[in-house]
Amino acid sequence: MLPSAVVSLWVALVILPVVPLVIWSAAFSWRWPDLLPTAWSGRAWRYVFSPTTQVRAGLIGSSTVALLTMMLALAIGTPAGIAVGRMAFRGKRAIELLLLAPFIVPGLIVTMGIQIVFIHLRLADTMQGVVFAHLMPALPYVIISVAGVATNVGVQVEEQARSLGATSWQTFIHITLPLLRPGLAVGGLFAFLVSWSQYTSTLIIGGGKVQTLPLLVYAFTRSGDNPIAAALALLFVAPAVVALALASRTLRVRQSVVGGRL
Amino acid sequence: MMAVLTDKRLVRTNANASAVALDLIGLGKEYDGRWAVENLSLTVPPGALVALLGPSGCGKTTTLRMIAGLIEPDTGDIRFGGDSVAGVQPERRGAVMVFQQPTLFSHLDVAANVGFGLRMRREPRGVIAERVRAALGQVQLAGMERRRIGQLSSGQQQRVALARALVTDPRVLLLDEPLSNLDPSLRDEMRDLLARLHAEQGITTVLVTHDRQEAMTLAERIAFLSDGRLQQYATAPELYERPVTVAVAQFFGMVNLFPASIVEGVAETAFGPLHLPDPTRNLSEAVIGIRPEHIAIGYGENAATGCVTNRTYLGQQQRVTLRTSHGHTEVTVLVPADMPILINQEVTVSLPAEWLRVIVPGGAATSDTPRG
Repeated sequence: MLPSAVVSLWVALVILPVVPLVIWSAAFSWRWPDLLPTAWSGRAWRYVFSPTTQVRAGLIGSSTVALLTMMLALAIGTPAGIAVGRMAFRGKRAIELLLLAPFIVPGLIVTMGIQIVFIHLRLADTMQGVVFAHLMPALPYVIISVAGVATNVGVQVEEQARSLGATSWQTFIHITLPLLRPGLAVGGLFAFLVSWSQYTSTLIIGGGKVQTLPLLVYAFTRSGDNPIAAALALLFVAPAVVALALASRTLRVRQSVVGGRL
Repeated sequence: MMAVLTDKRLVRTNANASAVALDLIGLGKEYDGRWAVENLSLTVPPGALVALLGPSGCGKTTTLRMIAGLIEPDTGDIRFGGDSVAGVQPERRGAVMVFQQPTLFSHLDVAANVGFGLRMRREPRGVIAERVRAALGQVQLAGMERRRIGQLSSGQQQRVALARALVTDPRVLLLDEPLSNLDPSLRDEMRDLLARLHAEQGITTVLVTHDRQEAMTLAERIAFLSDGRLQQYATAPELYERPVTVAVAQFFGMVNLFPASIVEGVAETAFGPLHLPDPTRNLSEAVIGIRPEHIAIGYGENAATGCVTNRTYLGQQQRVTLRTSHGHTEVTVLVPADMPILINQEVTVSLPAEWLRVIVPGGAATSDTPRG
């Protein structure tokens, strides 16, 4: 039961901005002060789904980079998150603050620095370079969400598994990972979305060699082709909405099954 | 059945010929310059159930975790059936821990929880299913295989945890306060279940508890720990009747303790001179103890008069505290509830020599091992 104020806010912030995009994507001409376009066209959507345009490259580029970023962030962030969530060690507060750094320091500034390093490492203008650049803002989301769950899972359940005859690897695979799943789902989703919506770092590190959807959207916006920019923007938003809906569903199911007793 | 329950030793040898002895030899663990466990040596005979008893923080759980291999001892050695397990990973020891909280795997159902240990050993599916079924039957949870953990009551969860440990056929079973999270009624039920399963299976078992009732009803021998040191390792009646340290005496309710010096069979105390039953060597420093229920009202051996300062009604009995006129020392007595006693009343009590116990300083067990 959502309070009506929350629903109104949700509509105002999420649904309303999408409405003009939907109209634009099907418009032929839409000039001020007309309320609706005077002429309609399917040109934008035909362009978006045409195999001969750059859209397919952008879609593949975005998906590849985002998936790689997500997997790397999970691989690196999970052990780190467990450590932050469970262990007491010297400098833990400092590390927790450092994890927030990507939220505080403007991405452009970091990217300029990274670019210089990546040129030396021959990572500039490559997909690996772009993935590494995306990893930096994505990683904290995984670490923080895994740390939150790891605190609750506790060490005793692992000790129990060891004592029952599981090796440390078996314990990790059969006990720790499944119990961390809510944290992994949230962290992975955020890592994917952070990478998916990167613009500046893709442009600078990718140097135009790595094509992604945000770059295309921006290109069409600048060239003034609003219908195609709008159609691309909708395509760009779709996976985020789907992923979010999916994640919130699985999380809710898991919680009711676990019953809050760990 | 009575015979089975009273003579655990007999059943044990019949039930499990492969049971191993557990030896702790000079075991020690230091945390921040303080010994949580210090120079602890004791032997658990094959198939026996021994309790580590003591107040919280006495080192009993630390000891259990060292046996399980979850922490490494700083000194000493642990042997299963004569073989040292130093440096052996917990999963290879065959020492299964049952924690105070059931610590079930909430993402798995009951059958997967119970079968976990067997699955990790890669036993065939059919074997696992069969043994899980049998184990659930043993803990009266037959047919619950497909239940989710969240659907179980706390008593059922603890029984699943027990079945999960037993199904792996552990060499040593380690129980860390398995009853203290349960409601009192469930606790009795679970305690009987533990006693029955131990009688049936005869697995060498160490039970950690702070509840002396629990230790006395379940364990053949009790190792009493205080401040990380083994105070006494003996049967329940011995601990109850012949404590060797003040800590044991206090824990088992021997509340009347008088510092004394002993010369020729007479102890000089604040209560007055106490004639001791047996010829005792002279000691400049000792403690004389007597249980409240063994003190008699009225003139007799070792008598003194005092003024009642407190009385507490306990149902069948009342506990009366008085302060002696000579020496102003407190004495606690248990008397029938219907005995008319008033606060400030003058009462004479006598301490029968046969119930006086001499506690010698430094009497703590050092390398006590069971005889026979």
